[in-house]
Amino acid sequence: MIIRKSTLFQLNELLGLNFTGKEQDWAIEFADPERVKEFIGIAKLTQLSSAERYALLSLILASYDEYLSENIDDNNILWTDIVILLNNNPLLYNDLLNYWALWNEESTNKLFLISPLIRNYLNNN
Amino acid sequence: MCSLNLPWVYTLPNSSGSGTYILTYFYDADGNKLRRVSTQGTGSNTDYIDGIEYDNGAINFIQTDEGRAVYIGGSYGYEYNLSDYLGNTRVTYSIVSNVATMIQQDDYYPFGMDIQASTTNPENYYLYNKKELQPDLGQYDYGARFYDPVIARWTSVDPLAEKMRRYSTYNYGFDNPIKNTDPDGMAPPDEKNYDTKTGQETTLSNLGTDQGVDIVHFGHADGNGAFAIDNTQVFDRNSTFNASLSSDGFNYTGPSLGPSLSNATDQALNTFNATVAAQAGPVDYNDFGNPNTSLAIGNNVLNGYGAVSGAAEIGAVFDAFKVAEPIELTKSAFGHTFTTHGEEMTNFLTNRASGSGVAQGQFLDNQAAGRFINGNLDQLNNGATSLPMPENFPARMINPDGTFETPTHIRLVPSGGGVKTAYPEIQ
Repeated sequence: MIIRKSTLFQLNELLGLNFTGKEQDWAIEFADPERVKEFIGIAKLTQLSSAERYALLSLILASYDEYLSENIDDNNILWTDIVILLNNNPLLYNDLLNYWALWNEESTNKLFLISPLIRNYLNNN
Repeated sequence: MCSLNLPWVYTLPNSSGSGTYILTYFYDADGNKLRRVSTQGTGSNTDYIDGIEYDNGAINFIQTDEGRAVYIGGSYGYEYNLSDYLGNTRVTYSIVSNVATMIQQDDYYPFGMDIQASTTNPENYYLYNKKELQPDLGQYDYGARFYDPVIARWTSVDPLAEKMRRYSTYNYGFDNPIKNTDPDGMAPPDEKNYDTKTGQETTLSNLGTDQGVDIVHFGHADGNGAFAIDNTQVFDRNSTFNASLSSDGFNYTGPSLGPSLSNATDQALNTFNATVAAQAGPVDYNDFGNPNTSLAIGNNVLNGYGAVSGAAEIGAVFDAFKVAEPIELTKSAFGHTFTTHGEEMTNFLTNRASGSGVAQGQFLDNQAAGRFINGNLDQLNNGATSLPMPENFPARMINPDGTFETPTHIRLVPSGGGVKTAYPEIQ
């Protein structure tokens, strides 16, 4: 799914981000490891369109990837919540998950930190 | 040899011809020589402390910029050296009654073996390249290694051997002692070239670090001045450039280097004079070789990765360059840059531009982009920033309608140790 600028402006207000419309990698640039739990909560509790939900999951995955660079997700608490969100509509997120999985990459140091988790998720679903 | 790969203990025959004596060297942890102990005769110690030498605990002389101050009979007598262009001490003189008096004269074979014409007492042993001759060994102490001028070889392997793979690890001055010296036993100093037309020193500059280009030294000591580019080379920023010397002139057997590469025939180089524009844009190598042989490497080669200008006379050592070793494009360093905006992401970005209505930036050379990013990480102290894109930088914008434009800037979004994404953009 391609995220349109209009979708991002809507999420911008909801999440309080400083999106200007010029950022090409919205989810990556606004990823915030300190707000992963908050983003997950919004995704759980807020009525969103498919496009908005897709964009928000993009932001959550990017934020969680950054989170793992500095933190340990004890007992995979956050990841378990993310999996619940993914399970709500796995087909919607298929291309997003495959992006993060980096299937063509064999070298472990060229993977994202969440790539193994995503690969495992896709292999089991 | 000690663990520093420097001489340590020798057993040498006595000068009398009977028996042996022990010669021992002591160094500090950095390999600086501290003491020389000889058991010959009644034995002697020489201590070396920052240019001051002591014999058996008593000061012998103090080195000065121009020679040395020799301690004799409670006062210092100043000696001065006249040196040749290699730094070899040729004449040592002192001032006696306001008259310069020669007290030692030394000549040398090309590789440094001394032809001593006269000596003084205490003898000046700082001779070839102004390095101290070890009289017991007949070797010069250069610091990192000892050098034997009789066999024209170092006594231990070059600590920088991996940087000069074209040469024996024991050679002195690339086997060209008339031209080269070796200030510390590690490597000859950087080359200086002089324009044969203007006489001005020419330099190699800006080939590097920030654009990831290494200077590679191609010495050619035997006078043929030949130069060849190996095959399979694409002489641009997309690939590495290798070059090597050959004895029969300029050979090129690889693919086309550019639109105006021509005439790469085997002409021995009488002179070489090359200029690459410092800035982006068409660059030319002109006037390689003698006036009848011109090798031009034309437009868009190197794209302004620095400047080279120089001239070298026949037999001179000259320089060339290559693109640096490829950067490993890890996620920790470059994040999503190349999985989203890399040279292979045309279809992805075309679809994203079309679907989102936002033009997407694409790097057309991941290595060049990696070098640009690495070279500008210090710009990210205050967060994400957009930097002006260098002219002719390999990047483009893919518009929603599928057309292309030239970006004006490159946006860098920092992460912990690098960027989490970077992309070309128009501002």
